[in-house]
Amino acid sequence: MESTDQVKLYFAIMSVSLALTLIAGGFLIATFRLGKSVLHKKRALLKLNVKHEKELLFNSIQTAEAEREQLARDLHDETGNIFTTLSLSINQLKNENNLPDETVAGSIKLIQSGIESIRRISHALLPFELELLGLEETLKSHFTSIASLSGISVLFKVDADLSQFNKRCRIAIYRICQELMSNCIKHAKANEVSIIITTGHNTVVMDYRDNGRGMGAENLGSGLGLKNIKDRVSFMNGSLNCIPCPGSGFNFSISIPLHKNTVYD
Amino acid sequence: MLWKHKINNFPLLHFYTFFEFTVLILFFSHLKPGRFSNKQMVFTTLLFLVICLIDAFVTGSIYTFNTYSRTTESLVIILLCLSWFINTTPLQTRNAKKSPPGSDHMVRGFLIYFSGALVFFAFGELIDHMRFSWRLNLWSIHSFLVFQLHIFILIGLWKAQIR
Repeated sequence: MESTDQVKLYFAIMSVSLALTLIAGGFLIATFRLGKSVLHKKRALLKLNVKHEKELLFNSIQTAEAEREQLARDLHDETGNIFTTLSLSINQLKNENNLPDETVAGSIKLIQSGIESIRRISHALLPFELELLGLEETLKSHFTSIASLSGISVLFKVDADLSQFNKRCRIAIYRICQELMSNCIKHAKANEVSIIITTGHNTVVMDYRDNGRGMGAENLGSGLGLKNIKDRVSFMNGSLNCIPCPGSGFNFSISIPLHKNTVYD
Repeated sequence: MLWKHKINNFPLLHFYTFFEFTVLILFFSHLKPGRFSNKQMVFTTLLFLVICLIDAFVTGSIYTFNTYSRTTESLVIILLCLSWFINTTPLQTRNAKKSPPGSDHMVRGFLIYFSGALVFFAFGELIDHMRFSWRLNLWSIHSFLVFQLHIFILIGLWKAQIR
């Protein structure tokens, strides 16, 4: 009898021990799988957040460009026409009322200056040449105008087909160049700038260099201009490489993938 | 060694149990499992010392298997392991706490070992009265559990060293 009890106890201990070990193992496997699933969900959420942020950026840039375009067209078409009509009206008034020539000439001069200002502002807001002449010619014209106004020597070389970029990408590249030149004049105090655009492996690479004051690593990312450039590069799914070299110029390289940025996509 | 010289080695087990418990409490206090503060850890250790002393001198003898203290130790460690899992794994993602590298493997080892060995400790005294071959079988299973525990500890230490 005692032996039967001991046999029962022997098997009971064995089976309970095995059962508890299996339960513990099962618990560990369950927590491991749960952990993996939560991690997977977290990654998916992070991916979704990044996508959402990119979409927000895309929309904000698109909206800003659309507003600029609208403003430029309104300024150019409406206000410009009003000034032209005003000029004609003054001429008519002069003929009808025999007004003195000096007064009329002064007014017409003021109106001409207003028309010129509107044309300049609307061109800065939306370079109409982009549509008519293409990105390469527009950039050439922009750099020539900068060089003549500021005295900076600009070397601009293009060894890539820029016409394959779609409209939003062309505007983004133009804005980046605008921002770089504006930074060069305002902060870098450079007198030589080189912008070279080449073709890489399924990418277009833009290298910018100047001989200005340069920028310390601590200042990278602190300015609004550089942030705008980064946003626009990200907008084109591109990558940006900025080499800080304080005191010896500024080196900047942007790589823009052709995929999803061409007129064919 | 003592067993070979036919000397009762249970007194050593009584000391070892308290030593093991203290080391494990220190280990878990280092991991800071959410529900147990350091003060509670010290209190638990002192309480366990009292249980060990009662088991050795009042309810049992220092020369017999320390069923109560071993079982209590197993239950406390299982609870601490579960608490650690609830506080560190994504079961509770918002309050999840980062733990030292490799510690998760060690805790896994402790959970499996003490869960499997709990029943051996609870019936330790009865096992002691069984025939020799059965005792050998049962304690061999326990040895296998100890082996897996050491493998887990080894992996944990290895991972900690890599980090």
